[in-house]
Amino acid sequence: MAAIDIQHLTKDYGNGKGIFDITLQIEKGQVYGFLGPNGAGKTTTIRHLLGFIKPQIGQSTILNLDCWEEPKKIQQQLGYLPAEIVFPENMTGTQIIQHTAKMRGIHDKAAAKQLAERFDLDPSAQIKRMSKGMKQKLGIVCAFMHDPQILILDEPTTGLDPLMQSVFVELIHEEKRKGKSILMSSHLFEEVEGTCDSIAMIKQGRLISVTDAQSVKQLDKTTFRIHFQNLLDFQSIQQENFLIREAHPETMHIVVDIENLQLNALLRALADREVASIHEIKHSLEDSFMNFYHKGVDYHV
Amino acid sequence: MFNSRLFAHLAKTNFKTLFITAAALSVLIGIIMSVFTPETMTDIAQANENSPVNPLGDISTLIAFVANQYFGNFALIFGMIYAVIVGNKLVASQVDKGSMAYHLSTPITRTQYTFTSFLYITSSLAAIFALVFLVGVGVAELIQPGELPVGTFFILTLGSLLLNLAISGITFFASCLFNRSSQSLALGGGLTIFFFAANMLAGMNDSLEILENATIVTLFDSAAMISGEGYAIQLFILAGLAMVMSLLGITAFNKKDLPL
Repeated sequence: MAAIDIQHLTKDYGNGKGIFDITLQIEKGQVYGFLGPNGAGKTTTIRHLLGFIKPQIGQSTILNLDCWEEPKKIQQQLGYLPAEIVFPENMTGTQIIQHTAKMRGIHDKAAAKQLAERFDLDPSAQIKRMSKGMKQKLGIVCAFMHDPQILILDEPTTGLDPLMQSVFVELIHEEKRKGKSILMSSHLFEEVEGTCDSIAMIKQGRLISVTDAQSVKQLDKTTFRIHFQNLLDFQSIQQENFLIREAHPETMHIVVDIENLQLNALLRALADREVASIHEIKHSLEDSFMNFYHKGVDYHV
Repeated sequence: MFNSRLFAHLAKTNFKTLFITAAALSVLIGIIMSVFTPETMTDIAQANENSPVNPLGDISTLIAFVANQYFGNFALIFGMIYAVIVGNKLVASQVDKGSMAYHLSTPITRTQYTFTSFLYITSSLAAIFALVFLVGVGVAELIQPGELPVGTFFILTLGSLLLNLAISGITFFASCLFNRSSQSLALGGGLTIFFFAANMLAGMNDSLEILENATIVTLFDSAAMISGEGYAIQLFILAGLAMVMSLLGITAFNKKDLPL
């Protein structure tokens, strides 16, 4: 049984906006990254999971409970952090935490207190006096305090400083070890790259790829940036049978994609030439993402 | 359907509006009950003997003055403002600002949220008018014992409460129906102002009397209530309107997509 199961979910807002035929499963103990540019449909998908909107076609379930029919039962097992968190007015952070605990029937405030300390949050201030980062931390406390089985986090690190971002990533790893299922949306590659097992990319409302993060990193090709000492070598290397991505005559360097089988051929070709420096360019999800993104653009031309 | 923790939260976050409304209406009824003694009213009547229109309306008795000025104006205006503000704030404003996502990410159903909100606005209005009744009777008995017919004053208070509940039913419905405060206020506040204005205009000119049929304010028939008969059906209609509009609102909120 998948923890989160989305089947053919469709919501057409017209003008090509909305989500179309989204199907994905998140297993127990899996951290799932949901990646896409702004307006791609990440939040629309998440709204379905929270039961805020009714699907036109398809269905989504969490722990086998229908998201539209039984949001109350789901909420008991769910922690949700919205993209732009808004709390009720005229309350302090402490009051928000207390009210959330009451609504969830939690009597033990230790977990909330621990989370607040961990994120270095002083919740005693009024909500409207809080910075974006503080509200985000408060949102994290409210989403995690009841130790939920399922976590849905919409762009969770917005507003957090780099130190807090790493505290957050640590927290995600811990929750994963506890067997939680986590759906994390983001438009930042670095955010999902290090934490997620699987990554779904969404663009213009459609899933364009589902990859597991490991395979993205272990691509069977490597990219090098090679600087040459003289123009002759710089020019002659381009005659060889390599896939040159970029060539910059003014700095005399090339960027080349080398399949692992070609590696020796490259070394032999470089042996005859005066090389100033050679760097490996790390493949990131970003490249992979851009790759899909541009492919997508071509389809529409 | 009802969630006591949510009710406590709503009571806490809306306390200021409730307090101001209740305090203003209590002070006003207290002043009226203490100032308009039989001697004062005779003085006013003599002073205005020769003027064609008495600006204070029918002031032959204390209860007539209370019915026309207090329940006809003050209680109506404050009650309407309260209903419009709180009605909008309970639902549409929460959706518009986004804090509804916070409420609905706790384990409650939409019906629990709206039904508890409906109970809050209803019971807070009831509390305001209960206070008005107690202060009114208390001050009257203290300053001019025996002058206030308590039974009639009770019926007037109840009638005014039901009228304001009917209005809160409409503003609550508008609040549940729309996702934007502006739209909710346009419908809820707009209708409320229309009802109030239509009632005023209907009383000004005979040719505008047809407006009486367009406003629910005339269902609060103070003359009938003072005479003691022929007011019950109108009050039932007001109570029914309050219930039906609120139920429609709760149903509409359950079915719609929320932009959260």
